Amino acid sequence: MNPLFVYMLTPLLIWAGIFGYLFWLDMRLRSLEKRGNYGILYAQQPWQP
Amino acid sequence: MSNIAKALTGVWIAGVIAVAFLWLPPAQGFRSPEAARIVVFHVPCAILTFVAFLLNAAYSWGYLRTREPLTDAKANIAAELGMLFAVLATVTGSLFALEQWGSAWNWDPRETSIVMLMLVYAAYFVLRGAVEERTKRARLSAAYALLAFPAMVFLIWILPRIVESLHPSNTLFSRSGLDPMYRLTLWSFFAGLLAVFVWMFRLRLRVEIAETRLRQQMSCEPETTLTGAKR
Repeated sequence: MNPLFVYMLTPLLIWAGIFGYLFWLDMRLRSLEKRGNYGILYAQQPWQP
Repeated sequence: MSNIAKALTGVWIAGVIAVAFLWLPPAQGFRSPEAARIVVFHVPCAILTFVAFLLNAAYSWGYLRTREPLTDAKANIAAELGMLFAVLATVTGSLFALEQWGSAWNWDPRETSIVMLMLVYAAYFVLRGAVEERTKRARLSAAYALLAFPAMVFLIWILPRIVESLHPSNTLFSRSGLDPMYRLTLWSFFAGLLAVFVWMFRLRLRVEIAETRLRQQMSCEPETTLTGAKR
């Protein structure tokens, strides 16, 4: 196999990870925004007083 | 940004990465011609560092003129992203320096200046963290950002040009500089990275707005929202 192809896989995988994480964050935030009640974020924490 | 724009950004950057490895020829004139491909990724990170800190100064100026909390939040986010890209530029640069100059760190003027730049903006975050009252924090950090801006311009554009440096200068725009194929790939990566920058900026801003609303919901105090409306 072409060694350059092997070296290319590392940045591609890193980029796939970054892209996937950003996309996931975006979707999660969007669903929270639609719900409109950010208090749910706080209520889910076990350390809530 | 729409989901289509995000997906296009994902495919674009993956395509540029493939092009950088499979289409670009080894760079002649370098000690390690194959490793020189990292320039395509390193330089756009450095340019975006400048863009982010420039935005930080512009939003800080805007805040001092309008006293709009949203503008202060934008200035902070621009500084955060500037710091992120400064770290990325330093890491990718160190990897290339290891191949090209035999050592990951050489105290080259550009290397030294980016460390100084990161310290200047680290102090910006320390300042923001040290002041609790939000209006005072915004005012002080905006004033600091405007003082940091000329230092940033000096460290990025002037200092590396007035002292001898391992880094070449004027390679991006002059015909005698970078190979046209490398230049095209580099600017293509910059375009993709700029889209990621915009996406991250907007995402971070939405988090900031969500945090502000959450804080208001928890405290039940009427407070000016980030968007300026009274709740």
